[in-house]
Amino acid sequence: MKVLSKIRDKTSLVIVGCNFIGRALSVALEKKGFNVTLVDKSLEAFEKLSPEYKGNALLGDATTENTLAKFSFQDLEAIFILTSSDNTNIFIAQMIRQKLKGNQRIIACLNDANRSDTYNIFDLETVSVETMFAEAVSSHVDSLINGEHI
Amino acid sequence: MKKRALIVGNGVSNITFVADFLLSRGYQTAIINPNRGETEQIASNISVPAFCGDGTIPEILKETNMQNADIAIIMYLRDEDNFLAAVLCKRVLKIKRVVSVLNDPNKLNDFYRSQIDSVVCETTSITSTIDQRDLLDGMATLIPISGGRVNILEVTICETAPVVGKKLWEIELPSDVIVGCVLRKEQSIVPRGDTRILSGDTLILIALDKQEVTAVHRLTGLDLKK
Repeated sequence: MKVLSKIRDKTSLVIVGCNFIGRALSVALEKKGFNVTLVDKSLEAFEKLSPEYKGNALLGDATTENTLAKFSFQDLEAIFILTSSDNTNIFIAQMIRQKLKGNQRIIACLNDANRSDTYNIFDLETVSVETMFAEAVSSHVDSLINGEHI
Repeated sequence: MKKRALIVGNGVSNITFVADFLLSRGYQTAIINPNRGETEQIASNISVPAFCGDGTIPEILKETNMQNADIAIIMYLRDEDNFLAAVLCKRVLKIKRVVSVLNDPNKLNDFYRSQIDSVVCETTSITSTIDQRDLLDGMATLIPISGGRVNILEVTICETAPVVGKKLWEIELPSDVIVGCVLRKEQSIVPRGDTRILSGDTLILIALDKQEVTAVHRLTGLDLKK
C-alpha cells in the first residue's frame, strides 16, 4: 500500500464501474490521497488499470447484495456510480441509498443526457460526460476563434 | 369504463401469452417492446397497439396513453430494467397495480421496498416448489405469496403430534408465524391463546420468511430438515 496523507487517511471513496471514466477518476483521486475502492464485475476491466493505481479493487456485481455487503458504508464519504448503463446506475444508487445512514453523496454518470429526467425522478445527483465534453471543447473553439492561445 | 393493461419488456411468446390472457379478461391492452423485430411479431400474433421503444423512458411510457391504467406487467431480461420500468409505471403513469418479473431472488426486498405491487421470481418459484413437495411429505400444504416472502400453510395435527391437548399459548412457535384458523370437523375456529389443539385439527398458518419449516416441525414433531 502507498502512504496516504494523514488528514485524508479515513476519507474513503467508492467508484463503481471500471470503464475509461472510472479508471481515470480512480487514479486521479487516489493520487490526491483518498482511499479509493474501484468496483467492477469484470476482471478484464481491472487489467486495463494503470500500474500507478495503488488503491483497492473489488471484483463483484454492484447490483447484488453480495457485493454491496462488502462495502463499509460508515467510513464512506462519497460513491461514484459510473457504469455505461443509466438504468444500472439508477438501480445501484437506489440499492446503496437504502444502506446509507449519513448524508454521503451519491454521484452518478449520466450516459444519455436525454435521460436526466429519469435521474431527477429518483432525486439523483449526476454528471453528464457528453455535456462536459461539449462544453470543454466549445470553450476551446471559442478561444481559437478569438485568436487566443489555448 | 373498460379496464386497461400495459405490458412492457422483451420477448415474443411471453408477451403474446400475457396479452392474450389480459384480452380474454376484458382488458384494453397495449405493449412496449424494445426490439423492432419482436414488436412486429407480437403485432402479427395479436391485435393490440404495439409500441417499439425503451419502456424505461418516461416519454415512451406516456405515448401509450396508459396513465392511471389498472395493471402493468414488466418482463425485461435485466433486473435493472425491470426495476426502472416498474417504478416509472407506478410514479409517472400512476398505474394502480404493477407486477414485475425478477431474475435475482436476492433483489426481492429492494423491489418491494420501491412500491412495486407484485414481484414474480422464477428462481424462488423453483425453491418453493421443492419446499412444498418436502412439506407435503410431512403432511402440510403450502401456498407461497409475494414470491415466497409469506407462506400460508395447512397443517394437520395427527394423534402423535407433540402439541395435541396443548393450548395455543403453550406452543412455542417462531415469532413470525401465526395460527390464523383451526379447522375442526365442520367447524372453523379463529383461535385465541387459550384454544386447545386436538388430534385431527387442521391448522392454517401464516408464516414469514422461511419460518414455516420450524413451525411445522414444532407442531407435528416431524423433522423436515433432513
